[in-house]
Amino acid sequence: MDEKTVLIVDDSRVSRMLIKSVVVDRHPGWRILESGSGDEALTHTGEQIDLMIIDFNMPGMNGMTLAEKMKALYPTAHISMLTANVQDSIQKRADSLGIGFEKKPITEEKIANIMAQVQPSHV
Amino acid sequence: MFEITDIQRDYITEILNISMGSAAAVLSEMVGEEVGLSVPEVAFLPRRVAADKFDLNNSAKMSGVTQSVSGAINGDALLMFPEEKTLTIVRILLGDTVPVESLTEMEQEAMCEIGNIILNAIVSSVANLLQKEIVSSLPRFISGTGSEIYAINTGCEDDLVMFLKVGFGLESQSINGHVTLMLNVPSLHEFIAHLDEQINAL
Repeated sequence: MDEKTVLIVDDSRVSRMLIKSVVVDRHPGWRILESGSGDEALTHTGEQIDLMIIDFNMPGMNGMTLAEKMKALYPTAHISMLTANVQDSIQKRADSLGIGFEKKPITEEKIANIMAQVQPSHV
Repeated sequence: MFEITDIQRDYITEILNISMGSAAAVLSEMVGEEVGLSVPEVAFLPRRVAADKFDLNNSAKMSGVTQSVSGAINGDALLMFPEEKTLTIVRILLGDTVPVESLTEMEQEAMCEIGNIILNAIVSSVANLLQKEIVSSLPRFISGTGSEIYAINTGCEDDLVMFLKVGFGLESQSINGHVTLMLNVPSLHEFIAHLDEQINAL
């Protein structure tokens, strides 16, 4: 199985733990990078990243701004917004940017669906 | 005194019903059981009077999360639980993701995330129904009696607010809490104008 690198960006440590636990459970070999803010996430640019799971409401840069920057830097990576902010306007912006949009709360099924975007035959 | 018509009150109650329904759905998804909801209360009150309504049970301590909202509505959203139940809620949410000995350490962070999800479900639903955008601040953990929380939350005791409150319950865990929206009256004229647009379009 191809090993992938996942970047999880969420200011909530609890959310990162929940996401990470599903990823590790399903794909123990995948590499996981964690960031608590958009600025911190940008320090990982230059590394190989296949999948990004990004929260919207965070201190400093919001998740959509980060996703726009990451989309330009990683055009082939899959990016999904995973957020409690489920306003139609936010979802439309995600659609326009060509990224995934998933509503919190975090469940195993939702994370599996996001992971399937980069590993469809193994999830 | 700020007043609204019966149909405006009815429409606000319906918006709150629908929005709390969205919040109950996400809470139910988190805890894996049905969430009971009370009938929404809508009132215009000075903040210090509204503060008394924070109390779940006389002066019992409560814990919860607050977020400020701005845009189509302006004010504060609060999610409150009895203080002694927060660890139970956190345990239900995190399951075996976190070792039992770390639960207390994670309690406030976990509550913030629970509040973030539930309050955003409500605020997003209100925004979608009004077809406007609402910006919410990051969640903040709060704890204390109603009066103490009120003191944390505002310094303007005599300001009139529109007070919206819905109670909810998780029967199996004997957990009852409530969600409150306290909207600043200066922003309400615009809010009521949005409502009238929607009502007139019916």
